Amino acid sequence: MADTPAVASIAIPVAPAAVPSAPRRPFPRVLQLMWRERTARLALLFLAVLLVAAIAAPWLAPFDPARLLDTSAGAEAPSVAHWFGTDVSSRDVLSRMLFGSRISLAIATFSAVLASGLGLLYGGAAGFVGGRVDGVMMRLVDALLAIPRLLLLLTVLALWGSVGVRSLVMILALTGWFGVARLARVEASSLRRRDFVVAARALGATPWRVFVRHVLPHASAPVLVATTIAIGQVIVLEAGLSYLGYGVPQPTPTWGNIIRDGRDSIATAWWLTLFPGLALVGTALAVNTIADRLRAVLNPRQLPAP
Amino acid sequence: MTDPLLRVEHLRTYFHTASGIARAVDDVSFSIARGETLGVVGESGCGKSVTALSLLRLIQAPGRIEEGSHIWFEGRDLLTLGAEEIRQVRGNRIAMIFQEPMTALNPVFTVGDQIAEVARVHTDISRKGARERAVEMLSLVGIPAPRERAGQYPHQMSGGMRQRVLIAMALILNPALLIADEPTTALDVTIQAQILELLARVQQEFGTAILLITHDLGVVAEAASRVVVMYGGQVVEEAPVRTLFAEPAHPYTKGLMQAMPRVGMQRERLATIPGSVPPPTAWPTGCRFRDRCSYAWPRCEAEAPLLVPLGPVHAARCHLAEGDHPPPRDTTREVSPL
Repeated sequence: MADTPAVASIAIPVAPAAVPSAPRRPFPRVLQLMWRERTARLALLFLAVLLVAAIAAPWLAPFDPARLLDTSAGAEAPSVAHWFGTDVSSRDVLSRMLFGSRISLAIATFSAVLASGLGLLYGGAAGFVGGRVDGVMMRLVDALLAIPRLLLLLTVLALWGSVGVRSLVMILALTGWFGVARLARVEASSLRRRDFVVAARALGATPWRVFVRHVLPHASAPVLVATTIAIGQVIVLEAGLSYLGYGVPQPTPTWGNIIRDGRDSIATAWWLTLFPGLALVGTALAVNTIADRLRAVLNPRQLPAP
Repeated sequence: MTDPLLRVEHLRTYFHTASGIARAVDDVSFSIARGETLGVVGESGCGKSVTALSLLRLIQAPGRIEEGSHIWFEGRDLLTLGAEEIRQVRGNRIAMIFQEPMTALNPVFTVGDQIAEVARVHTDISRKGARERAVEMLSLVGIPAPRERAGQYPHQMSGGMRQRVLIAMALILNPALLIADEPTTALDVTIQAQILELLARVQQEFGTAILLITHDLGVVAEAASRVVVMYGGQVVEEAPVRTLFAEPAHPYTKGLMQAMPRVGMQRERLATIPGSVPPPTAWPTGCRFRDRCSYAWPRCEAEAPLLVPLGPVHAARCHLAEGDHPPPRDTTREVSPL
């Protein structure tokens, strides 16, 4: 409606005013608003390219990521044949990074989404029910938040021994929902007293229905932003764990694993750590930029008039 | 008269707060017949809205409906029903519309969706059937192009239109009683008249009883047949609307009448009732209105007045109503224009 001429507002409306535009669909609208800012545009493009590369890795990768190309050669510097060089075991770094991006991104996305869903339900329920239940549920979250996440993860993973990708996602999700729970709780508990929630109860909606239809959708905007931030965090966290040797077990390429491979030869074979490191930093930066813009776009007070 | 549709007996809703017990509704009794409109008037904080919420048991902690209260409706005491049974009453037999049409609709769903939801909560109607009903209801409450409007979001509608949507939601299951809590307060005067007209029409068509809560005596005069005046969590006067306006018996009601502007009035300023409503945690002893009453005499402090019948359908909670009139205290409150 931004393009309605200003005169329209002072014109006398004819009895049933023209029915305004069709219902806006939220997703394209959010994307469109995000696109308006240059840094967000760059971040979206970066992530889109990365996503396509990850999905198309089997076709894009010039070599088999696990193949030892020339066991006698050792690490080779970037060249026309190997854009990002090869590692100590003579595997193509670009191919390993392409395949690694699949696992790194998948772990980050799934665990962040899972953690946020868990947090949204837990915190939303606590805030919605309120009273003593809320108190007990949130003190538990406070207690869990007091333990540093990396320490918790290292302890669990060290006790576990080696873990597969799926268990890692689960463990990351189970240690990542506390913050989101707090966020969702604040939203839900303020929503509980809103007029339309009372109205829904007055018209006989079940508590579950009120929760799912009238509380959760409103709590989900800040949670969506938190999820995006969490994806960036988990990408770095997973790389850190892999680097320390507690992440995805070795032959599988992840960005963290590739950096770990190059750890000992960082002085001589810089390309082993530089390229995956750049990918890591770039992705984390892009995701955070998007989260920032998403926060602005989803906040109705900062939204330009629709 | 046969059994009334709703009979509230000794309703007491207290809020147990850290700063003491707030007796928001304190021993309120009234009844509504089928198809009747009962107006409940009083200023902010007199307990009107808490009474309305109590009827549907929507009072949240720290509020509580105390023992000894009864809400008889269609042969059952609503206060003895289980959570599921009272949920079946809400929206189905007793519906409610709220003061703020701007905030009583969920901004993320279309209005058609929200009207249909009420039907789907209580009946086995299909998604499509409910949708059709919603469109019918929109047209019934006088919204032009109902099919297009059903697909719109609340923010695309004006306040008056949203109040119509809320009325459609409340009436879709044809409830026996409609509680309207300040339904016109947030609207401007022309829209207000339209909404009152709509309520009257709906009442004639469906025989719905209406509990009309308002602070606006003009609205009461227009829409209600009987009136309950509340002050300090109690009923202070009850009368048919004509009687109330012709011969108000309680000093509070008289004050309200004098505070009302009249066409052709010459005075510069309206009369006011001095002071304000005391907090519900600290009602004065004796009569709750005595601090602000120009007729107050020692008995008002010593003894709380009872609701005294003045006729078959008229009653007032005042010692004056018992017959012995002391001379009124001299309180000429006319403020000279500056």
